[in-house]
Amino acid sequence: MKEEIEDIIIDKIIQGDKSACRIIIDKYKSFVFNLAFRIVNNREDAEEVTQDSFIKAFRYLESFNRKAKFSTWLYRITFNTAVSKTRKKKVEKNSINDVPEEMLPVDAFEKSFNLLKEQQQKKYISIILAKLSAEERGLVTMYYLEEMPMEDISDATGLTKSNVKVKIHRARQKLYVHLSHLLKQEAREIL
Amino acid sequence: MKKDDQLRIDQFLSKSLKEHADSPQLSAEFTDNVMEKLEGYQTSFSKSYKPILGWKFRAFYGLFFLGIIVISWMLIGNTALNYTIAVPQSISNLFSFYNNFFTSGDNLILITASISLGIWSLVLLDKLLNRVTLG
Repeated sequence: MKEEIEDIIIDKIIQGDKSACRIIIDKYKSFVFNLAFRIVNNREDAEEVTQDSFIKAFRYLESFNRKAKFSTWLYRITFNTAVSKTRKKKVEKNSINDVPEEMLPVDAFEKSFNLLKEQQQKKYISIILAKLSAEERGLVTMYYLEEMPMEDISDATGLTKSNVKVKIHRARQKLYVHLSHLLKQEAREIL
Repeated sequence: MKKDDQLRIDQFLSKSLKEHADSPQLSAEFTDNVMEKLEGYQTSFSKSYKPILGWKFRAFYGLFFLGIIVISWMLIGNTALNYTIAVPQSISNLFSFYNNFFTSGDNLILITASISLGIWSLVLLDKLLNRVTLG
């Protein structure tokens, strides 16, 4: 959908045409749901966050200044809604210090992971993602899965660009340390 | 961590997350559910203040009002001087000043003042209603 067409649809919604909301929902629902799911780490909660995010977006559409992309603005609403949902649930934060620092060299790390069965790989990815905080999971989703530029991530999270870089670096380090730990454990079990 | 390693880990994580991270699907009736919720809202989502009087009318009104004042001062001439002298010195004089202003028999000023107050009351009421209905 071109931006001009999207602008027309947004104008229609602002004027009170609720049927136009369906077009926006259908376009962005997977996008919003994916981010919500990564942050809250639960399907039902993610669906609730997705629904709340759309309703908030339509309700405050007038305040969307159109300088940023609509998708970035919607991402920001989703990010904040999902993070506050996890705060309400008081999800335990896992510190990087939970596991000893036993990082594998990058080569060995990649090889060991590739030797695992598909199902095992999925399991490990899910475990290491769960070790991150809600905010870090959101940042990882935007950076690695959606491949959003730093500037858009900064707009979507309300963090400064340098802060985003620092937090992504920390998340990368955590993922690497935890996966190294799991891979070492796996190797020990095999031997 | 070396920059080179960091880049490789980035590539590895990007690829692995895309391939292996869980990606559940939304329920098929998701859009309908949201639409149903949206239909429940009685008012439009727009929350902006839209005044009864548009900016064109307000500009015209401002110029019209200014014109009347200028013309009235020009026509009144000496009377204008009297008003200047009648500037209140105390609170009791303040009341008599306004009393004089509205009962002076100078219809032009009286009408202008009434129209002005009427329109500004309308604008104020309009703002108030907008705030009450839209929250």
